[in-house]
Amino acid sequence: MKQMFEKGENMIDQNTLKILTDSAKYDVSCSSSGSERKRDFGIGNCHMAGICHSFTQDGRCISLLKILMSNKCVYDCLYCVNRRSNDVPRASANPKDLCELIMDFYKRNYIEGVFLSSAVDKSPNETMERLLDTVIMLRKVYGFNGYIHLKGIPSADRLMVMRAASFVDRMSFNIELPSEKSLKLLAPQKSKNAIIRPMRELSSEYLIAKEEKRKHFLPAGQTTQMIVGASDESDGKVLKLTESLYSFYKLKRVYFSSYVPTNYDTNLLPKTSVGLLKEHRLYQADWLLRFYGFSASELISEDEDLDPMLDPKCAWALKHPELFPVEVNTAPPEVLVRVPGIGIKGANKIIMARRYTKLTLEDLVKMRIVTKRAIHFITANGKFFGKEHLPTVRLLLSLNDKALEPKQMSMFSDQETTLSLITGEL
Amino acid sequence: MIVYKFDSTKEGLLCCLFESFSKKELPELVTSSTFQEQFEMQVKIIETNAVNAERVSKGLIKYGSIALLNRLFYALRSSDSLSENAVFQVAYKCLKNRRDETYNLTDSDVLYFTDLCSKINTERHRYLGFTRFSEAQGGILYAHIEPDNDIVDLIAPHFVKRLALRFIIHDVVRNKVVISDGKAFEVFKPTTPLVVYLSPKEKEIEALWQKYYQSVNITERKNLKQMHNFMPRRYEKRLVETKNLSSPIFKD
Ligand code: SF4
Repeated sequence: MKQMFEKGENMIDQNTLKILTDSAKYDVSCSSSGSERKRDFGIGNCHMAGICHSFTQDGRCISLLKILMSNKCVYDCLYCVNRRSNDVPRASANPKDLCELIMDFYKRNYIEGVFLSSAVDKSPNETMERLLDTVIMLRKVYGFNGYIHLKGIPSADRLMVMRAASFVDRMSFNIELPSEKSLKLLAPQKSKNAIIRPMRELSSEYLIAKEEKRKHFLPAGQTTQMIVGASDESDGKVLKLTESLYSFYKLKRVYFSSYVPTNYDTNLLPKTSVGLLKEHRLYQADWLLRFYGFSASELISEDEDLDPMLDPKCAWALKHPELFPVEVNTAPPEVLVRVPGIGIKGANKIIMARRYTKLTLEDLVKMRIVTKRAIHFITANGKFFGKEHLPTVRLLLSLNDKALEPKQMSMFSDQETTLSLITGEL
Repeated sequence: MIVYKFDSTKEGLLCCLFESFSKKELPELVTSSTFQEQFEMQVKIIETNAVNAERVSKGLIKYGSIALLNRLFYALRSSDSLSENAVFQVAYKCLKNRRDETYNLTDSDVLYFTDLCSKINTERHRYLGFTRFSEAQGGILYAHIEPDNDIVDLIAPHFVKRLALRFIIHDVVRNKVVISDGKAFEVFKPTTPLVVYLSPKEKEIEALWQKYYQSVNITERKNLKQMHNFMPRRYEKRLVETKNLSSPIFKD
């Protein structure tokens, strides 16, 4: 009995756990994929294809323990529950207790690893130091080889950031908002430079580390996140920014998070959330950038918003009737994946199956390729089954868009985990 | 209607193929399970014979590859009552057409077969995440799972690599147990019930995990349909975070 009590003392209590995880849940980067970490000593490894350990009741994958070291904050970002001027319960955890908790969860296969973050407790450097202590303790003392995603603290000392990067799998400095103007307005203590600079430094260090074969330097790279719907930037602008983040800083992922109002005492923020459709369309467009060889400008011009009624691939295809229909039996893979409704998985199936036989529309249906949207853009064995009148096609595409069914909305709150997007089917 | 009945082993299935080719007949059903014999059925019991099995497996490797043979056997892990038949039919086509037919996705037998494979694959991948260990007294980790398909030995290597600790995974459907010392693993069928005493700390950790599970949920976006799509209800009773939640929030 005594022993149990002593154990209990070293453990994070339920209330602290609740406070420290309550706000971290809105951080959308759940993914644990993309890192391959082998074990030299101790426990754990990382798995290339992400593993979901559970699903929340809103249908998101739980893969990591997402936790803040502290939610005590000296900053006052307008959109944040934990900002200084809010009256919310506060807590913090010490590195040792956190390590124990992570090990206990990991060993039982509850989690793939940890997503460690923190509010700015006292100062950026003191916060970064505690985060650094924790990851070093995890790796060195506890021999933990599982996945660590560490949130970088803007304005923290460069050397600490670099040192942390050599222990963790992934780091993220959050862009927060899609423009400098909005950042100034809504997160007055953060500057664009304090976010972009470490991103740039990490990405150049990453290249050097690769040259020198230091494989423990951010094996899963960097990501970032921005809030959409809190400020007035167009989708075109958001996508352009996203594209440049991929090309300049070699980010692995840019996450969008729909603004959810938590503070009502300001006129600078919308009183209602924009809903998840905007976020969803952005993710679809992002997918096209990353996997289908589209550029942002092909999809949309900078001052435009994405069409809410159509997925961006459909919208693109409708703007280019001269490219369609394509013949499924002969079209090269890169053309097939640009057909609305045919994703990478579908294109693969087609390419495999057409080696054996000339594919008809019936064959496609048999192979369970969703043809509802595709029929307007393909011929199968020379035959066309779609409609030619563009406004009609537009209407039909919109009617077959799952995202527009009211019940489906929250399924897209985390793209990494929705199966349709794992396979890239758009 | 010709029916082949065999002993459920891989070799047995290969012998069915041997029989079929040497008698130049195509059975309509190949199975190892007991079934209700019907009047029009002509049931043949196929004897397993290592030499014949070897000849067939050589043929499959010649026309396809070792990978083809493994893929065919992989589907035998399915609990589907027609899985053996599907494997037979696909293997028959490979031998007949002298090529790997498993990518001929417009063929309905192949389609059935690839479905079986992807179900097994999905379940294997799911259990990498959904397997829950409890710490037993003495430090050994214990998990019980209830998979639809025979996958316990498929997930074992992952946990050997990851945990490097002593563990047991018990497939309670097939009473099949994987035991590992943290370096390698063995599979056996226990003859007496396994008794596990949990460490006293276990309850507290479980409670913390349940707390976390509740805390990450975004109530305003509740979508149980979506949740169950990814994590079908049959898994719930063995997951720490969902097993005690008989509360109304879990009703659709
Ligand atoms: S720095 Fe800003 S966003 Fe981060 S916890 Fe503090 S107030 Fe919230």
